[in-house]
Amino acid sequence: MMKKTIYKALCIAAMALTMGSCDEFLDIQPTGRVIITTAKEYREMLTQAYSIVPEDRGLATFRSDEFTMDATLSQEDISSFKDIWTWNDVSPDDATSTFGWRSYYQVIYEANHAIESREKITEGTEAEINQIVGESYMLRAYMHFLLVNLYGEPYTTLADPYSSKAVPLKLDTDPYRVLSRNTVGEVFDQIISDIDAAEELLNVEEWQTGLNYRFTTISVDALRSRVYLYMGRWADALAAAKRVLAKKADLADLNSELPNAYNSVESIIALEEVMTATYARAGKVNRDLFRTYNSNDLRRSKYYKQVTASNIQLLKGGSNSYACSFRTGEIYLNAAEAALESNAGDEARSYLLALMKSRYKDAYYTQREEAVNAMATDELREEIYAERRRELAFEGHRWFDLRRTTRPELTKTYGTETFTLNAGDSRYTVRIPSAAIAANPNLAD
Amino acid sequence: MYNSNTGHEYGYARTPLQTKPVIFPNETWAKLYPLYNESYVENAFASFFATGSYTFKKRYTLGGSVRFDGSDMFGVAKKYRFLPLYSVSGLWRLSDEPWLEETEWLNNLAVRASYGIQGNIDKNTSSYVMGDYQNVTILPGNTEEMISVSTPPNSKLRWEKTKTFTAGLDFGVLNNAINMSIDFYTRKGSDLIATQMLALESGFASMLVNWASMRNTGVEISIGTRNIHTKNFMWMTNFNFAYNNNKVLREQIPENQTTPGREGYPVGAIFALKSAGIDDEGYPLFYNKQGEKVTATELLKLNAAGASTLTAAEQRDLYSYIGSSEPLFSGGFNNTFTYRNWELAVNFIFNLKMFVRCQPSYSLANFDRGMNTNRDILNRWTPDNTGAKFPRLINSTDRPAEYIQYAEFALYEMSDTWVKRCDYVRLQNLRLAYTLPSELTKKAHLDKVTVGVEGRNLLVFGSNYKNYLDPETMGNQFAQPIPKSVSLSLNVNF
Repeated sequence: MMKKTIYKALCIAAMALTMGSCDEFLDIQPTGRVIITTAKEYREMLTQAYSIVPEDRGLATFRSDEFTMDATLSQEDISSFKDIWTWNDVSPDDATSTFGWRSYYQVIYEANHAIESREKITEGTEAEINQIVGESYMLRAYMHFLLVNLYGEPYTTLADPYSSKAVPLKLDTDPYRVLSRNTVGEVFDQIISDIDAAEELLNVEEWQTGLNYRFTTISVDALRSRVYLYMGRWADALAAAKRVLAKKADLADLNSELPNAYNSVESIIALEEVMTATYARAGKVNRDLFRTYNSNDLRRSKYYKQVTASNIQLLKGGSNSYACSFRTGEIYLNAAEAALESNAGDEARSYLLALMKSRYKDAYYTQREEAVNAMATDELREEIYAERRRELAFEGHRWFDLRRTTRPELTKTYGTETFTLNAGDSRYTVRIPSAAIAANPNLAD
Repeated sequence: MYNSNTGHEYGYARTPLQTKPVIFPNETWAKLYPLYNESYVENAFASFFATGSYTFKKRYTLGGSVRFDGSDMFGVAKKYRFLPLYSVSGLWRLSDEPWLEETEWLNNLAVRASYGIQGNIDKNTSSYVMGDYQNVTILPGNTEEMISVSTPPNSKLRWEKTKTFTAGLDFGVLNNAINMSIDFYTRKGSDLIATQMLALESGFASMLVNWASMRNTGVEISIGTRNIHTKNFMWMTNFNFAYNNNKVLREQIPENQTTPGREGYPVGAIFALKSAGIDDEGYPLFYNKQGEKVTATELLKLNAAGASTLTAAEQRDLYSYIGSSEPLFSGGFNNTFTYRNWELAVNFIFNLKMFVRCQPSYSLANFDRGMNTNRDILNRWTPDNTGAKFPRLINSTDRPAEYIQYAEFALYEMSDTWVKRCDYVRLQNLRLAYTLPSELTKKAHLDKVTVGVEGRNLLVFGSNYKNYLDPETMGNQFAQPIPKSVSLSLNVNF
């Protein structure tokens, strides 16, 4: 027995020795797998976050009045988009496309991870690390902004934005925490505070073409001008728009480029493709929209191609060449609207006219200029809305603009069927996906 | 090491052995149809084990073993690389003791016992944020490296531990006419690892957690008897029987879970909502906790968008326990009769006391007329058939909130209507064989000739399994019928 014990002890000792050297043998760095630690790796993680930003602003176009649909479209596209187009949220076709939920929060997760690790990121200059964390704050702000505009009541229509529940704010990386919905007011407050935090950190003024999907110092005020506009904080929206235009006021020459092209002089952030190849071919340009472009409007033939009377093709979308989240054209319109609502009519006119000058043929422009200068406030507001609709068509603005402004009645016809979205209809807000509620019942409340 | 390469070619023509180049309209389309994929995986494993056993006087045996299994785990602390496994065991052969050796009728008697501990950890879990490299083109003409994060870090994940104790008894008596072995076991697993659904606001759909501890206690008995043994006739029986009682001792229920926890219940516990028939308009009714008949709207307090406004805890509380999806008893019963040259073998297997959750016969909100369906659809509520057993096909306009609930959530599937008791005994095989008399075969210079006929899965007795082909595949509408077969055999030995 004694001998046996000694033998066993020896065995164990031998094992302990060999196991030590085994560590090296087992130290395999899996190909293509990495623990995110360096600034370069955090940057590459953010690249992935940017790449999965949902194209829901493009999908939301189906709910607006920019597209029409009919039976000549492909059956697959009809199944995927018709029920979105007709606001049929109760009994959609099984194949209906869905607005994103988890993807937004996955982007937010990666942004939160970078924000939380700010002190731990290695092998990067301070400026590089600050830029990464600053972009993360911008991503988090922008994702919450898209979510609140899809799933929350419009800020501008609420008497008390702090009483209407919208979406949960996710501000940490804890995967176990089960959140409840925050109010519209709380979400907007957080967006503003994230933008402020980003402003402190961002230091790249402009990324080279091809990387200009990334947030920059100028994008801070570009996002601010849109956020404040959506909140009806006109003075702040105007101030932000002015700061953008002080740095970048270029407008595209439509004879040489489309203003929403990723490499256009107007581009501020070219992140979202908006009208993806699928979306662009799944509907037909609404003829009523097309008719709002005067024959002296340069955009008429640059944005669209009229094949037959009813078949109008979209030229400003369908590939990542037309990726555009923010551009100067929008900033001019934000400024004009914000100035008008701040009772600075002349300032509003000047921003509107600056844009119009580069969009109309000269002779016609002079005519329009006179008309605009003669407009009273209400008429001018209509003109700004109409110009915004024309200028930013199919860039993912229309649905959100309808929501935050007049929420008018919309009617659509498919064959002999007619569909109506009543003025101020509750369907101006998209309902939270059932899969999200099944995974977190708090969202139903 | 695995290295895999996949190439895609289009427009392949066999004779010239050529393919056509693909011209994509733009990069977006090119991304959808990659022409080449490559992956490389390398794994390493190292194992150490020691085992020893010692037998004393042929009667007492003691054994023990230690084992460490190591593998490459990336992003995991080094101490977790080796999985330990220890066990000790003992055996005492009583029948060889001097004071029993004289007992003629006892052929064999032994007792055994063992105890072991095993640990386990998930290989892919790390407490760091990890990712995989991929390429991406966000804007035209600029392809970049990116890191895709597929799982959240999991610093809270602990070892899964299993402790097993077994005890057994073997004995054979009366010239081995009765042989029996009894095994008792209890196995306790703690910090068990399983996938749990996450709230999607985490950014992920699910992750691994230490969700529970549970205990399996059971007995396995196997008895072989030689019932009758005369010159021409023999009847032998083999009976085996297993009883397993599984109980979840502790479960950590995530805050967002809407179905009840299984603490105190078997791991296969089936919970359901008590159904209460249908209402005047043909919609399903349920019993609430007060025993009142209520509609789905009232039961779940549906909002206009068809989602329940009850908290997850309140929803969990609506369910009742029905039973376990795993059988409490299972086993087999085997009889062999031999009379002169004839042999008849009858083999039964059984599974008793289990429940199955079946799919509803038809979907209330999304009934697809193009699909095959069972006859329950004929017994649905219609204005002319108000006494029907099953609810109507509902439309989106009458009760839109209920429509969404039935269309998009699993409410109807959770009704106890669809939980069925499932017990069965199957005649697994029946075999009759005849061996030709040796005087006959000798003449043909053959050693042994046997002719047999065997039927498999001829009969199954069970609780009601209407709408399904067999109790064994109950709940699965797409299951193939279990084939009944009859085979003839001729066995010739030279």
